[in-house]
Amino acid sequence: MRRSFWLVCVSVVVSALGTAPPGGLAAQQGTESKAEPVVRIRAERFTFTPSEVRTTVGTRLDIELKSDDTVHGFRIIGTDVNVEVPKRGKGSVRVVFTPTTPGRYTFECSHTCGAGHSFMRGVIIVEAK
Amino acid sequence: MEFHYNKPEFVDGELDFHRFVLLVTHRYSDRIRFVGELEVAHAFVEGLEEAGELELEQAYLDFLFSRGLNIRAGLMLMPVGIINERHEPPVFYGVERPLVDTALIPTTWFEIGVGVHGEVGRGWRYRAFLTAPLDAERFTAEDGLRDGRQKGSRTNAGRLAATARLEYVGTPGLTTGVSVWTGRSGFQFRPRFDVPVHLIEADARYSFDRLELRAEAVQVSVGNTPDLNDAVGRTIGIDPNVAKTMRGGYLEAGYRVVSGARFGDIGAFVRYESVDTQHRMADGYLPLREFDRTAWVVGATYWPDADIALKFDYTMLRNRSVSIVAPNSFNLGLGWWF
Amino acid sequence: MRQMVAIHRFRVAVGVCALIFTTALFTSITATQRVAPPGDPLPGLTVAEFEAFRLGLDDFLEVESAEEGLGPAFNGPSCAACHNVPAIGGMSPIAEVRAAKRGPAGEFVALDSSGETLFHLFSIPNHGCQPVIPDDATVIARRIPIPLFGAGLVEAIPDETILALEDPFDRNRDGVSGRAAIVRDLGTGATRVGRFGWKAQHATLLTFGADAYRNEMGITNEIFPLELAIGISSAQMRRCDPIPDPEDRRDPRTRLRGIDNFESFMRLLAPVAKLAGSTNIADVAAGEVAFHAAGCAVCHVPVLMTGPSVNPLFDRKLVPLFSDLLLHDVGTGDGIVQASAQAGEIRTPALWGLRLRRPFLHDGSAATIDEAVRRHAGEALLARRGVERMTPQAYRQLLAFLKSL
Repeated sequence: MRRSFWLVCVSVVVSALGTAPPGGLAAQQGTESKAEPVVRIRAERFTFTPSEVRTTVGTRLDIELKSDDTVHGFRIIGTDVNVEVPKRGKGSVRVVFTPTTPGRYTFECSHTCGAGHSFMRGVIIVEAK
Repeated sequence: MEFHYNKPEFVDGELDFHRFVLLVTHRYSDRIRFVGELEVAHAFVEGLEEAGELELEQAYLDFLFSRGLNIRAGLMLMPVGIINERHEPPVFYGVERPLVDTALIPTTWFEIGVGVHGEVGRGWRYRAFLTAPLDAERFTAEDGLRDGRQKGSRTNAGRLAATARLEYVGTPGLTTGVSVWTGRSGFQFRPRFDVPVHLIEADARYSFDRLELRAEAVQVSVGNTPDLNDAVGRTIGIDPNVAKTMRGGYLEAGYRVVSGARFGDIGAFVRYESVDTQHRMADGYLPLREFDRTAWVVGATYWPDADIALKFDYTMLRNRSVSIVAPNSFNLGLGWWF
Repeated sequence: MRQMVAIHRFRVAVGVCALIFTTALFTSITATQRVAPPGDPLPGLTVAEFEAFRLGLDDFLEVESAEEGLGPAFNGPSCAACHNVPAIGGMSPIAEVRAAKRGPAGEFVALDSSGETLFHLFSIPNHGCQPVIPDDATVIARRIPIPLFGAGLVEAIPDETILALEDPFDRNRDGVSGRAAIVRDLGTGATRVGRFGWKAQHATLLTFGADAYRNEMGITNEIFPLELAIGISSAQMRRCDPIPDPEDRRDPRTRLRGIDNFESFMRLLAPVAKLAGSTNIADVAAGEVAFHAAGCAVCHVPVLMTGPSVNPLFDRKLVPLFSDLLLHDVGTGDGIVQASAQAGEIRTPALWGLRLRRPFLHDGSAATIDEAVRRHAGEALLARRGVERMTPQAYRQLLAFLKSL
């Protein structure tokens, strides 16, 4: 029993690490076309997934945020985007962000959500067209 | 915050306000933050009596330079395992922490230190800290490393410990990580000898819709246990019989049977745990098989609100002893966060 | 007279041969075994035995409370309170008190109809059941704890071995008339040769431990189910200590009683090994010869052997205890009659581990080994004269030998 337990444990972890796609989420969020892409960001203690969003200058980003657990915040530093992500079961929140300058825009959780609250950060990478 | 009713076999049940936690944060600026966590454990702290504990669990400054590099300094949580950094009650199934997260990863594990953390690429998060070590004089056969925590209180920092964690969080719902902790923990002993402690851990957490799966595996090695056992035996009168290798882990599956209903969510879970704090002994030492433990835990959680969890579980504990029966226990807990 | 000298010389020769043989055998055995420090279990335990030893050690250390049955009168709140030097299972200078009186012809008369002589040092609050030594006591004796190291090996010595050593009528005319203590073991009901306790009042560790649990701590058990406190009526006893008897309960997790744990602990405790790496090996060796030459080894027999056993730990093992386990009157008796022992008799103390003990004699009244040796009289008179006739150098070597044990 014990040996098979260890085998299962190790194989679960290894296969989980193995299935981590290097490409992340950029490919899953919808095509980057001139139509507004909807970026679905999942917030949970203490991660935003995806934590890296790529877009181009002038593209309107529709960001839909949902929490897996408690109330989180979503704030894009340097802009006036700062919303509360409602707790699980209480729906989602949508924000619109249209970057006018290329650069890296850090976003973070702005509602204290627990011990690792400071780790909840991400970046929107805005490239020039 | 959480309080518990624990009823193990053979003894009376116990009602305990297990943890009352206050989290304090302060933004100096966009780039400098303070985070503090104060906990009152077991409700009542009375001078020198061994009643509850009033402890500062976190008190650090984060200097946030960029996504990829940030500096943290102060009293911080060790980045080891799933639960140590992520232990708010509504976030894990089961009333008590898994055995491996009490004996091998002494949750809640916090020490004073300094280090870096950040995220690179599409979800590779890292932390690397230098901290005060554990105190090997307090290692035991039953509780492994647990009592060795210095907890930031006048800690000996003659030799610093190093800890690091690498996580991948790029796939939605999946978090996998590997942690290491290494530190020379024998500072109490005269004449001096080293007790190097190495911990390696791997874990994975996957949640998809209503399903949540977790797995964790830990191995600890303690060096120089013959000298350690001998020195502690001479101080306290009994040989603590500390092992040179300890191992543990668990597999858990949880499912939200009811999700999104008006009255809340209900989830059920099952967990298989294993912890052996006497896995391998130094030459001339025999293991205490009472501490080679496995457990099946089944239970459920009711979330009337995403931040409130009413939990119950039944833990069936087994050990490899020939004469000591491991008690099963029934546990009930109410935990909340705001 | 010439015959006595010849017999004496013969005994010395036999002693020296035995010494050489057993030293050779002993060193060859100890060379292959790890030398356990005092307090360690016997080497070669199985994992299950180690667990039983640790369970026993925990219970031995456990401080009992009045709610658990301690008292109403007691000498210590845990076994380890008195048995802890140089390690748990050892001794200490704490002395228990026994009292009795002498009849018109100087004979021993107990102060209690049951024949008991123990007067406890302490009692649980409010001290309503503290035994009081009555006015007519004319014998007061103290006894210090005996180290328990090697007790399992001693238990495994067959009765026949001890009986073969006795010579109650001194048929060999060497002045020594050791007597085996025949006792009834309450645990098994069997008639056995006692070997534990200053008066060799117990034959098995289970009964020895159970007796101590009740006597020293006031915790009644299945072998000794009644409280003991001289002069206290049972009604008063129940008021002071309302915990129902027997107070020693089976632990639900292990299904073992406290007395079972004590038995395991004592049984598996290793004996104290001789001092290794002595700087004056020559003196120690010469001292050992002197020990035999003086006749000390007649009672302080260097080695006995355990009987056959299914457990390899106790199967035909040498027990280098330096005692014949017999009762002797060497003039240091405490005046207390107990079990099979008369007032002046004491069981030959084992000298293994002597270097780690202080003070000496049953009542701790000898501060040094030298003083203890010089107090020997009665059956030990001839041997003491032999010691007094030694040259100062030989005596110094004798002391060096004794301090190496």
